[in-house]
Amino acid sequence: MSATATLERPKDGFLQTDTQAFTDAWKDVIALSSQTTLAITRAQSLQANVGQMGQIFALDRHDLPQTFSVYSMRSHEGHLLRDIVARQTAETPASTTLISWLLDFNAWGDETERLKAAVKVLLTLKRGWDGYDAEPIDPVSARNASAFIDFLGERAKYFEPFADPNGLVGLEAHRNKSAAYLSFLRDGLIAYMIRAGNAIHRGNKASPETVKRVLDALF
Amino acid sequence: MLFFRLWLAYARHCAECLLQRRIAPNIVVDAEVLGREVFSTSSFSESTGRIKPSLFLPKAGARKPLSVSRLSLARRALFVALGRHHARQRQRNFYGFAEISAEFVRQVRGDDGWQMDVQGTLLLGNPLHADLSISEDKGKDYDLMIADQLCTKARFRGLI
Repeated sequence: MSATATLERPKDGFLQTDTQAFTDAWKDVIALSSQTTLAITRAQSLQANVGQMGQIFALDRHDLPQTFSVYSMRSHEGHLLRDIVARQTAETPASTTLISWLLDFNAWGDETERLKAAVKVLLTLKRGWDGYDAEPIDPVSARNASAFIDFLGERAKYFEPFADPNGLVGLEAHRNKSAAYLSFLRDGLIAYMIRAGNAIHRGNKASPETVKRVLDALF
Repeated sequence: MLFFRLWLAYARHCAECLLQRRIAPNIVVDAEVLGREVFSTSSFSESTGRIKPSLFLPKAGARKPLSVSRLSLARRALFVALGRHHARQRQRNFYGFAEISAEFVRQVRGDDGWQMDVQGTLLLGNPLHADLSISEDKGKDYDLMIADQLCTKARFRGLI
């Protein structure tokens, strides 16, 4: 069984859901639940939450025997965002557990959403935010960073954002003896430096595809 | 009073240099601890204490040396008071210092052979001021490489 929901981002920047598609999708998911009314209420709340976060996703439910189900949450492009194991108890059907979990904003907001939210926070930094005459963060750079986070998918969980005194958004990650620093330029290209052990790999105006390939290979 | 005490500390350092170590007061020895004032929570990770590269990235238009204070040469409370004074001037909060030893600073180098150095630079408002040299503009990726080394060696130390 496949359940798909699509949310659209209109041009004015506000988020709204494709209500009918979403409701239809969740009817499929909650059909198995014995607590239909409760599940519908939660699904409606979820719809509101999802609208705020602007997540675009599809849910595929894989039937597994007996006590639990695994749901794959995917982006609209089909990239796997995460697998969700919904355990079933006597009182709680698996689909209801899943919905409850999804309604928990903190649990639901996966790493990419949290990271994008943290990038957005950097936009509040005003001129001189570092005490050394730094420039305010350029929204174009923040947008490029958010797009790259989506592009990176699951791997984004290793990164955290930093503000560059030149008004750019950067991402940094540290794993074992490796580190990666990315700085998002205004023209959509990326300056990066990846340290893997004693080896340094760096580039000044690389495309997002190139940086992702380098990250896959080295980090 | 703050500046008087800073100059007093500098005078003591000069006397020590001349009488004991016989080196110029502006030479920063490897054992000295240097501190870069931190005015933003965006310059360090509150959970891990890790310094963010933003604190050591130069501005593209005006590549100036990175300002630090020579923390080993006077009581810490004096530098905290100075940091607070600077914060008031810049209408920011003062959170503490990114501390790094002069020895580590001199270990920072680019993959083209460039090496960072530190030298005492006397300022009227801070006689215990020093500058970390920065390279000419070789691209953002180069700056990230240098900032990574500084962040790895530096430790954030708050006011408590």
